[in-house]
Amino acid sequence: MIKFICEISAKRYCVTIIFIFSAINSYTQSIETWNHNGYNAFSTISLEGGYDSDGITSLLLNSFITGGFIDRETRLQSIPGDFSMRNFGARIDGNIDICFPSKLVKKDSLNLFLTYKYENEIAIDFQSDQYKLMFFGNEQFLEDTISLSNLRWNQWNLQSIGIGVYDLKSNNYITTNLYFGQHSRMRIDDGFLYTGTDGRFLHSDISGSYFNSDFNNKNRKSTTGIGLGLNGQYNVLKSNIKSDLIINVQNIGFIIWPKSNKKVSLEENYDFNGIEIRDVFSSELSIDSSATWLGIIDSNVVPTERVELLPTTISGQFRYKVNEKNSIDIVVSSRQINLWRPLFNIGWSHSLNEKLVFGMGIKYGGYGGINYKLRCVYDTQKRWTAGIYINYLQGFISSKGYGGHAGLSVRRRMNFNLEK
Amino acid sequence: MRSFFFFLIILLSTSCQREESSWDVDIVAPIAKVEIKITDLLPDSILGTDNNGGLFLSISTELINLNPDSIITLKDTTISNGYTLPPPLVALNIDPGFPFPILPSNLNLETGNNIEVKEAIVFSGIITAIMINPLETPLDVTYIIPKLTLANESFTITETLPPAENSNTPSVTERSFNLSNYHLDLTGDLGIASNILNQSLSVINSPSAESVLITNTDTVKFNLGFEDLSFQYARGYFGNTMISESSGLKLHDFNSIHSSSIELEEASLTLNISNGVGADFRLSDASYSAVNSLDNLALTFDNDDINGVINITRAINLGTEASPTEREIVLNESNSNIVELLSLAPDSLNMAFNLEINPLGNTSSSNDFIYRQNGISILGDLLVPLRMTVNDLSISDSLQFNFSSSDKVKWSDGEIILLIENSFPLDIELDIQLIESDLNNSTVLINNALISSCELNGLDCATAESEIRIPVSSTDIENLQNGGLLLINGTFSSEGEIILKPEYFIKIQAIIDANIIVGI
Repeated sequence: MIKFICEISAKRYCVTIIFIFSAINSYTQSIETWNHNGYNAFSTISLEGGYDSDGITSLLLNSFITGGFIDRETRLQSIPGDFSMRNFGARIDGNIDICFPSKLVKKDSLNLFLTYKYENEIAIDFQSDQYKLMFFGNEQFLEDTISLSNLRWNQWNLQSIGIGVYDLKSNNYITTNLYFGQHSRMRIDDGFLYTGTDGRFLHSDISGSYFNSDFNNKNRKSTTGIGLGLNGQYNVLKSNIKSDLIINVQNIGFIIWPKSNKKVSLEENYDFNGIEIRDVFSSELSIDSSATWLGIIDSNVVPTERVELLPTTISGQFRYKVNEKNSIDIVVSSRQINLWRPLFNIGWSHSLNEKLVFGMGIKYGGYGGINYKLRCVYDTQKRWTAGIYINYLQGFISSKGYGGHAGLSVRRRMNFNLEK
Repeated sequence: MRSFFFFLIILLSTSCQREESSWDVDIVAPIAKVEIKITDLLPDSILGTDNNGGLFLSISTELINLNPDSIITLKDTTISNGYTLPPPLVALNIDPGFPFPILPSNLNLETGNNIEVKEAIVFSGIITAIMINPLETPLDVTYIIPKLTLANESFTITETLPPAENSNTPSVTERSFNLSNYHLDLTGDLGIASNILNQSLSVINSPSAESVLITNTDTVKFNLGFEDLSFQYARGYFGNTMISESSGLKLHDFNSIHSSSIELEEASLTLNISNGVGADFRLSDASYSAVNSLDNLALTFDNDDINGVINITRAINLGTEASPTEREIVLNESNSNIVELLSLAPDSLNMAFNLEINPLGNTSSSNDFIYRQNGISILGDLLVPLRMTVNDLSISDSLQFNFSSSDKVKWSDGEIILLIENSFPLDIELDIQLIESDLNNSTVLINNALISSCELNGLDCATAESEIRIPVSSTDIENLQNGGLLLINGTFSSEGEIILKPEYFIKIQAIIDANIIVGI
């Protein structure tokens, strides 16, 4: 399963300004409060993926996912309004957790908790001009200016292994994690590209910055940074029968980028009217294509080891049990990552019987706007619990909808006979 | 919900091996530019500007240069000396200090072409002595060439040859000496001979050695070799020698300019003939021609001076150098057919002739002389004002693009637009063909596209702008990426006579206007 995720990420990390399939982590949507049914250990495998946007239709995204030629009509559907910003974020993550009693942990209800997590996230902010340039080219901008301002790109690739303790009674836990990762980001604060008459020249003026944890490392599967951080969850109202207030924190910590990282500020004014050919009567012309933006970036780089904060997520969930069968969840999430806006969720859950819970809700924020979600959890009341989540529904039910996210989580409970 | 399962299926199965996503974009962008001037066609070193700002072609080249080594040829010479017990003696016991009876002799330097050298100063050369001792006793050797001197000291080799290891293994001693700056008197004992050097060889059983038996099978050998001798000065009779020479002058590297396309107004070729040798020479059977290799055409110069016999008398000896005798022959439009020759648009000028030294024999009583810094030379100065009428002058060139292809960006369809500024007073018809890498198939991209001449207004010419659109298909691009060639041919024509100026240019900017498939 983990290998599969890695391969997906390698596929997706190819180009800039590309919409890539991935997912928004469900912990920003809702926090499960698992029932352990008297077992003293469990293991969980979760896999989630999806994207969110306020402008990229699922039709366009599915075209990327399935491959093939993306027709003009599909691309036209996602053109933003002339002056509005569009947001796109995609994420995939998976984790494996194991919780079991150990002599290392002295308190009865506390278990040893081991985790492995893979997170891969890409986000882009763009405007109408940039979208049109990307998907239709610059011919429509002859003798006109293409705004490159406010174009932003952000990409994280993190793998972490954690060790900590888990309280089976309250579902509170804390883990200390070791991170391996890569990160790149680009922002153009102010910039434009002008296409001269008949395409005789291109003029660009760009003010922005760029960072990449290891530009030379072509193998995106490999990691270039190493970091340390904490994950945790705490139920503030654990003594209250009618309601829970759970605070969940992920990735509080830092990561160190080696000297091979590149961080540059760009103030570049660039005119181009063709590659100059000097020796036209030589028998073989060799065109030098090295004068690219990458070359400009390279010329500005000073290698320095850097320390940077991890993209932290803090979520708070308030759950109110209306009666035995119904409850209401309100979730507010904040993530310290560029381009991500606070996410608000409100949902309703209904227990059809003691084994099956069905839920639905609505969200606003994150990388997109309003979207809808469905949730279904089946608990065998013995060893197994499985949950299926559709956190962003629009993209699945309409080709013109924005945002699609789904997840699958399976937990197996166990009993450990451990003499403490 | 169907989309959800579709989503999961994609996630779990196809994402890793999916088909590439792609879409098309319409791109307009400059890709290349080039500026061509006359100086791109011809090097600055052969171009000049006259008082009116017109260009002229000026090519100076040394057509012939005969130095002393070409005129006086000396062969490598090996001389063997030695001593063998004369009959009827079969064996002889020799005591320490015993001198081998070897008489002085002459050595004869071999020269080519019956040259008789009386005296010379060596510029460079080596003398090598190989000495072989078959006796089991050391031998003291002294070799002298009395008339080979350096600062009045005769050339002398003094050597003690080590004894042979045994009767079957003689000792071999080899020595080399640099002869630079040595003076050679080659007149022999009586001072009247030529090419002769006296030599004397003395071999004695070393006084400190013991008595040893020499038999009639033992030979003490002294072999002497002269190698790579050349002179900085020589005197004598240089013989009646005939030298056949030929040379060529490359005018340009284009093998694509056809003849009959240029009508020049004037041109001149000046031949400066210099004789720095103290011997008469005669040029005969000369042949001067202009060649257009493309059209396989050649024309011979027609001029009374160069088509006849040219005698150049000997130089005057000033003691340390020669005062050359010189002669200048000017070929121009009034006395020759040079304009006609150059209108062939030749890529080279060729010449061939016979050069006879001392055509009247030994008239100097063997006092011919030569100094190293003076030889026989012919310099050619070609001067061509670039004032001409151009009629369908065709220049072709081929271009091969070495660009890396990307699977992520593919040409679908479009045009390459050439925006051209022409300040030459020449109309140009442009043809571009794409030749596939197998050289068997070609595609005509444009045919007879006109690049307009500048507009002449008195002496000024206003730059003219032209636009040429070249439709290019994806197949064409693939052919170029696969090693195809672009064969470009320009046909130039003028309205009447023009004067080419250094400031004339053609600027070409290439722009793509294309539909491109972008893939991820």
